[in-house]
Formats: sequence, structure tokens, C-alpha cells
Amino acid sequence: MSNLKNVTTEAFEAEVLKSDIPVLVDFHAVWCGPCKASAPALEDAAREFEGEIAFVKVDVDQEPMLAKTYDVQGVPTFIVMKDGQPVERFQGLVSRGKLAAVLEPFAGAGQ
Amino acid sequence: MSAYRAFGDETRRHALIADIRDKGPIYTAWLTRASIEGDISIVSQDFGLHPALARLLPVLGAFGEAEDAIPFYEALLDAIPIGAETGGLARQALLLAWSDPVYGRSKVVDPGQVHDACEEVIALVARSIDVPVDKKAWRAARTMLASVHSDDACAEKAVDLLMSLAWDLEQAPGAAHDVMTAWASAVEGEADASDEDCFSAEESATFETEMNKISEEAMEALSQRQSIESVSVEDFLAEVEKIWAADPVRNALKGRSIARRERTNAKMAAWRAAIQRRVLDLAEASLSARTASQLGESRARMLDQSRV
Repeated sequence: MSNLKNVTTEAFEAEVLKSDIPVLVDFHAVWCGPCKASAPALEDAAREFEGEIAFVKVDVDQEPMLAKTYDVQGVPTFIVMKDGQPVERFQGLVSRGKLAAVLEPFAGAGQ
Repeated sequence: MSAYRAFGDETRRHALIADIRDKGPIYTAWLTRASIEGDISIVSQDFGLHPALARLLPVLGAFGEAEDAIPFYEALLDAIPIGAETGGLARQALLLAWSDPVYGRSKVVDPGQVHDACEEVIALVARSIDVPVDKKAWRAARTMLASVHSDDACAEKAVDLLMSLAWDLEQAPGAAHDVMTAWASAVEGEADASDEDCFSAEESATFETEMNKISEEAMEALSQRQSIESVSVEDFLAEVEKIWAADPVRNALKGRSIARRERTNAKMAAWRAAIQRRVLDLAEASLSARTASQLGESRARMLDQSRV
């Protein structure tokens, strides 16, 4: 089962802004090749950091207000949210190595 | 050690080789760019190859874009004994990304903290060939890698590669793909940088600007002759080509760019050929049941075809 939950604008506050643990938000689109190519790495990272970092997906075409709020100019865009605030962002196809490099510093707090 | 055992019987092996030779459905799903975002579990479920081995092999054939790869795949599958566990071979192959005497990343990382952190990861991967390595050990190695930095861009790229290598391949076999693509990208970057006719920063900027301008000019010209919706890729490329050719100054820049791309492609082909040979050597070293003559024949076939 996927560890990546699709989040709507309505659920964003509860799932992301009020989360007890850091959240990686994947702003993606269904037509985006690099988004699809990044999905297996995200699934692996979500499993690896389970309980320490939450992983959610936001479809920018379905949730344009969220994309606008976070100034998403292209997809995929990834934003790490901690205590309701964006603390890290990066764009484009991601590898497991890149995800580990970005997320390890945020993972310890949940352990 | 995984539960995957190669092929099951000779019939399965032959079926897989035949599919690759004919560029059949498994080849198309597995060894081309379709695999990057696609499901290739059939390679492990039906043919018993470890998912990490399945994930690292497409890069060694340039995702189906290198004509020389099919003999390699045939020779490799021939070299793997029926019932063999191929997770160890995948790990040994990935270790080449660090240790290969010509292309390994160890040569671009100077001795020191960064090198030591990389070696920690390498030691874990080597250990995981024989015994399971627990999650905490992988995490510790990654944490150490994340804490060290280098001012050198090549070394930083090597750290990125090692960061992808520091995953348990039983849980995250796709990391093998990440390692191989990072390695190919690093080798390609070096090939570009060492080219005999590198663009200066100014020439690179000019070339990019000209490319964008020509794309716009082509669309403008086409839109005056036909509706935008009816413009095909072929129409567009032909128009672009015409505009390049009409301006000798711009076209000279394009000519240099194409020549440089061809030289880089040749260097990438040499990298793939070298690593294919190393992987084949690794597979043959673990040979137990198949005869030397069978292997000799398939290897000779591979070498003959790669010379064509």
C-alpha cells in the first residue's frame, strides 16, 4: 500500500500544517513525466522514514490555490514543512540519495 | 540474501533471451526508458532476477538507445547459473561505481572526511553481499555522509551517488537505478568538460539564446503557412533546420555542438562497454553449473557484435 497520501486544500491544515512530524509535500501533476519517475523513490523514502516524516501529494491542477499559496512554478516541486512552515524546497526529478540528503536532518526528531 | 532465484529452468532463460533479442514486450518494458516510471516486477517474479539487478541493467544499455547492448544482455543472462541468487551480483556491480580503476568515483574524492564517509557506505554494501545489514546502520552511514561537505563539485556529485548507494536493496531496489544514473551523469559531465572544443561561458549563453530564438522564428514562420494545431514535430524540426542552415555564423556554433555531442556519446559508449565487461566478469566468477565453452561462445558473440 502507498505511504503517499493525496491531500486536498480542505485537508491540508490537518494533514500538513498541524502535523506533529515534518511533512514532505510533493506538488505534482498527472501529466508530468518527472513526477511519475520520482514516485518510486518517494515511496521508498516514505517507507524508510515512516513515523518520522509524513509524505503527502498535492495535484496542482486539482488544488491550484495550494500551488499558488506556496508559489509552485513547476512540477514536481517538493516542500518540507515543519511546525506549519516551509523549511526546505527543491524541484525536479529526485533520487533516493537526494531525498535522504534533504530529509535525514529532519528525521531524527521523530525517532 | 533474497528469495529470488534466477530463471527456474533453461526454458525460462531462453525465453527471456529470445525476448531481448527480438526486442519483445519484456525488453520494451524493462530495458528502455519505459522502465524509469514503469513496473518491471515481471523480471523478478517470472524470471527470478533480483529487482536491484533488474533496475541497474537498463543504464548499461543506455535505455535501449545503444545498439551494442543486446549481446551484453544475452551474455550476462547466459553467465548466470539457473537458481542463482543475483542480489550479490547487483551489489558487486554497484560497487564498481566507487571502485572501478578508470571510472570509479573514489578517484575524484580526495582523502579526508568525505572519502572516509564514502568508504563507510562501501563497507556496508560489501557486507550486505553476505549478511543482512540493519536499517540503523544504513541510516548512520547516510547521516555521516549528509554531515560532510566538499567544495569540489565532482566530489559533491560522488557524495550524491553514495547517498543513493546507502540503501538496503532488499527494501529499495530502485536505488540501483539511482546509483547507475548518477554514475552515468558524472561520467558524461567529465566527458563534456574534457572535450577538445568546449564552449566558453559566453558561447554557451549565445548558443542557448540562438536556440530559443530559432525555435520562436520557426513557430512564427510555420504559423504564417498553417494553423498552429496542424504543426507536426517533423514540420517544426525541418523549419528549425532550415533557419540554422541559413545563417553560417549560427550554424557553425550548432556544428560544433553536434560534434561535441558525438564525441561525448563515444566516451559514454566506452564507459558502458568497460562496465559491461566488468559486470560480465563478476557474473562469470560466480559461475558454477554452466560449461566454459558455452560461456566462451556467448562472450565471443558479444565481442563480435559490439565491434560491428
